[in-house]
Amino acid sequence: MADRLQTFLVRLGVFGELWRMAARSKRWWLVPMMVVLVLLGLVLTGLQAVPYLSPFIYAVL
Amino acid sequence: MSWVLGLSGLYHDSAAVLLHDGRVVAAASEERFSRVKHDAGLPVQATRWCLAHAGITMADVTHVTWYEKPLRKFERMLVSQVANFPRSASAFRRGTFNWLTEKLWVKAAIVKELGVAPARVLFSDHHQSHAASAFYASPYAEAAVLTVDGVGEWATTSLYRGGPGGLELLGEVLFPDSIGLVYSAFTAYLGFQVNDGEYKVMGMAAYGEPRFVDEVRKVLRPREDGAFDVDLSYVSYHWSADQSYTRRLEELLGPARFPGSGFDPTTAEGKRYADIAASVQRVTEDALVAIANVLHARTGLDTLCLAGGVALNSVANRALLTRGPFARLFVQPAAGDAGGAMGAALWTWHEVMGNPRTLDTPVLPGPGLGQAWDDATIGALLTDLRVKHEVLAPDTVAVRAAADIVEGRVLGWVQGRFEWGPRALGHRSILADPRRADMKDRINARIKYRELFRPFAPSVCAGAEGRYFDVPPGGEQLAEWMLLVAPVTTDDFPATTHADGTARLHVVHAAANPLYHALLTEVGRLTGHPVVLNTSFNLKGEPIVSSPVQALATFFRSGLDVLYLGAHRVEQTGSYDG
Repeated sequence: MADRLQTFLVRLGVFGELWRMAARSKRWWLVPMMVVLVLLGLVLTGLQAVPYLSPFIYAVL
Repeated sequence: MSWVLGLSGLYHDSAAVLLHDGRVVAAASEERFSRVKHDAGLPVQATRWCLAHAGITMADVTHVTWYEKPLRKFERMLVSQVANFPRSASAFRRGTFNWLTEKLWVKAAIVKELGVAPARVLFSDHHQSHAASAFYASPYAEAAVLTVDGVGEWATTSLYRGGPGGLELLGEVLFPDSIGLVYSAFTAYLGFQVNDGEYKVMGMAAYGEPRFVDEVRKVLRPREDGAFDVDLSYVSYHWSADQSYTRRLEELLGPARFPGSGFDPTTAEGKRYADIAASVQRVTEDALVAIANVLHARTGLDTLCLAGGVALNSVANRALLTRGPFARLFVQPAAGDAGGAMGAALWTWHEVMGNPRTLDTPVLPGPGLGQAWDDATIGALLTDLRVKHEVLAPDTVAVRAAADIVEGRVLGWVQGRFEWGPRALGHRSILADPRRADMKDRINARIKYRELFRPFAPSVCAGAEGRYFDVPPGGEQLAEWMLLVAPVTTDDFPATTHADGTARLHVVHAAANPLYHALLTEVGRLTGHPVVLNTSFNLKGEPIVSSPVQALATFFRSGLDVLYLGAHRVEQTGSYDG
């Protein structure tokens, strides 16, 4: 459980990196799209961890 | 005592490199363990082996550095796909899924799969990793540094000055203008696999004349300031995941070669493909020389350290030496993305941890940085598998192998630690007599099962290379690691002399590989020429073998005559004992 929590927290760190990257490149218009995609990524990786759902994830997309 | 681990992967050529106090103690590509060529996963097995080799655990490692910044690559991918919408829709859908489920979460994967504390994970920049792998692994206190590949985060070509203060970025060319990606687009046009068949384009070029230079320059357009542009109407790598060139390129140069079709340079169609390959090679060389001229003017230095996948183009390396402004050239053996792992570790050691360079001890102890198996283990394995074998006294291995070669046998040669980088340098090699004209076709067709036009390299004892090859001054280090093509000045080695009268030379020093040097010396005593044909010990489409089991599996599936596993000699016929 502690391992999963740590992995999840590390993944959340992507949002901080995303902010720093946007500040550096000044491509602020990318931020909404990237936030949505990163959130989708979090959901997808979460679903992939569920054994009986993971085979369907790739097929759906 | 400080340990630093560098990692690369999740695109192609994943690898792990372990530094101890700034020196490389272990380096290996994941493909050597997974048996997946150009393995694109996380280098888990390579990492585990590096730690085991050093006798440490992950808790002893100060920093683990990934060789590039994934989020910046994701940014580039999105910007490019948005700019090219709607034709990029298919690539966007497929590429994004891969990003969202794997590549974005590199740090979490390193933490979870490798057991690294999150605070110890660092990220270098892709081209900075390449630059560090070239400069910090070199023996030079100051050097100009050039990195050229397909693309990193955004940069495709970067120019640095390396000195006591570290690496200073002088300039860069950004995606989609890319020498590497244009070369790969032509690789696909010529019917080869991108990120694998670039060597084959180089080999094919020797059969042709560069009569399409003007046409290729419409694609890769040189600029007066030494940089270049790409005419994006001819290529599609910026919006397509399936195809890297457009129909317009076929309108310019004629129909593309069908993948897997035969290549016969004596036919008009075969000659056209060879001429296009030669033209692409020439334009690539011209672009590199032009950039080198700019870099030389900016730095005033006479040494160039080169890295990135394009640095593995040994023909272009010769052009840089003979037509470029630099007196000497340094390329580390794994100049492609696997080498990014080494660069990430060296960047961390010097630029993050602030350790100064010490040039008295080489950063790279030699080309053999991978795993080794001792004779006791090999002997036990052969006995377990009931493979008939002969155990030789260690000091007779070279003599016996030399006799086999001179008598016309083709050898599998597995000795010591496996090599770092894509070249076989006498640790995991197939060896044969280069004087026999039929040997090239025999090995290509009956042993490696690969295209007949592909050349083999000659290994030669250090000191004797001048008798047979025209090695340009400043190319000595490149020849040690088989990264330089040299004209052949003799007719004695038809099996290793390519169609254009050159060879990709491998000069062997006794200090770097005593056993292989002894073998070459013995061949020289028997024939008068201390030269053997040396090619990687693998079959077409497979990674080079690493373990004795892999060597045996490859040996029995090939037409090799004899296998040397350490001090054990196995013959192909009647090998099973019982």
